[in-house]
Amino acid sequence: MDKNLTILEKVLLMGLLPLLGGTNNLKQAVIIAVSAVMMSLIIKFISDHFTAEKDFKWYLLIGLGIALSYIFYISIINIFPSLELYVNSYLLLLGVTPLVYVGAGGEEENFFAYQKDFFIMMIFVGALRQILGQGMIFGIQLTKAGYPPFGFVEDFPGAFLIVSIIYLMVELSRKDRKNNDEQTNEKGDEQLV
Amino acid sequence: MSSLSETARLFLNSMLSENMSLAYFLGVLFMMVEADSIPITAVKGLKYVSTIFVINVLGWFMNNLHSAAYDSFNPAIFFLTTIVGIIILKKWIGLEGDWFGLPRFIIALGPLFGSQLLIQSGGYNYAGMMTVNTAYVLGSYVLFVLIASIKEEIIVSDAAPVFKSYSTLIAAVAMLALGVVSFQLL
Repeated sequence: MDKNLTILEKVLLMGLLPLLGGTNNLKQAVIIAVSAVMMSLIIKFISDHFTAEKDFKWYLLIGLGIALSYIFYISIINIFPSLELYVNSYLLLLGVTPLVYVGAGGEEENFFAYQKDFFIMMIFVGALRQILGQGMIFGIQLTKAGYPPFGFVEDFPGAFLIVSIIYLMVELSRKDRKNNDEQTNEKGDEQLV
Repeated sequence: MSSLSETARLFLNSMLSENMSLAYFLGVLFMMVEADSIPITAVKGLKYVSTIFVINVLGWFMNNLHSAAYDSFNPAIFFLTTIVGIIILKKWIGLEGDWFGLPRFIIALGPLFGSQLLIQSGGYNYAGMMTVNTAYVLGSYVLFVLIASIKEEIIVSDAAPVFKSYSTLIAAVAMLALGVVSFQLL
């Protein structure tokens, strides 16, 4: 399952924790997405100017990531008190999210593609969960108040379901899907022979 | 002191509807990536959950060694205990090598750090912490084995290749989560 994945599919896996937990509504998704991108940039910058033994380097970077997530958490609550309602513990958990460390890993050349895809995915999932779970977006009530179309989407089973549907859509929209399918079928035929 | 029914309710909630893996998504990525055949996963899962259990107890004790005035040091404490957990997991279940250019152990950070954070935010006493911790690891172990069996079934099935991906696995976990929520309603 891990083979031949596109950047978007990797983003869905590496950023699974904030995608599931930090997208209850659009504002929360935006706060977490912006924080994650800024943290990734800081970690990439420090990683580029820092040499150490491989494991030791990673432990230090993870320590930095956890410290940054706390700094972002406290800063957002203190600088923008009105946003406190939209800040949850998944902001603190950004420091243990693999996607934040992409810039320090072996996929540095695609760093900005990862960040762009993650940002778009967070906004998309956040908006979708708010529309389906609360029946509203940007403060505009789309359905009768108290009657959301799919209320369960706000809860954790809905988070799994929405992310799985988006993952499936990404899979279906892959341009090289047809070639992959053909290759898989050919391999299967060869094995049968 | 909490009554037996309160403890039982805390245990059941922590194992099902408020489980760290299902309700808080901690360790789902680890389970999806590391799930292998059922016998291998059953053993690997035991090592994984026992490490989490020990690290949670260690984190709770270290957190309770200092007064509430020093609570701002908690992230540093949990970071240190998480690193201990990572070292144990690397040696014990062979969490070596790379995963998409990152060290493979990075997928275990979430459950190790996040579960300590969850237990700390609950403000439990020793008995409460042990109840919640035991329920967390039991629920996570069952979920890990279930994910392994679903993954194995997906790989060997005759479905189109597009469905032999993580999307089906996440959808299956969503169905399990729905089942758990319905149990809570009962």
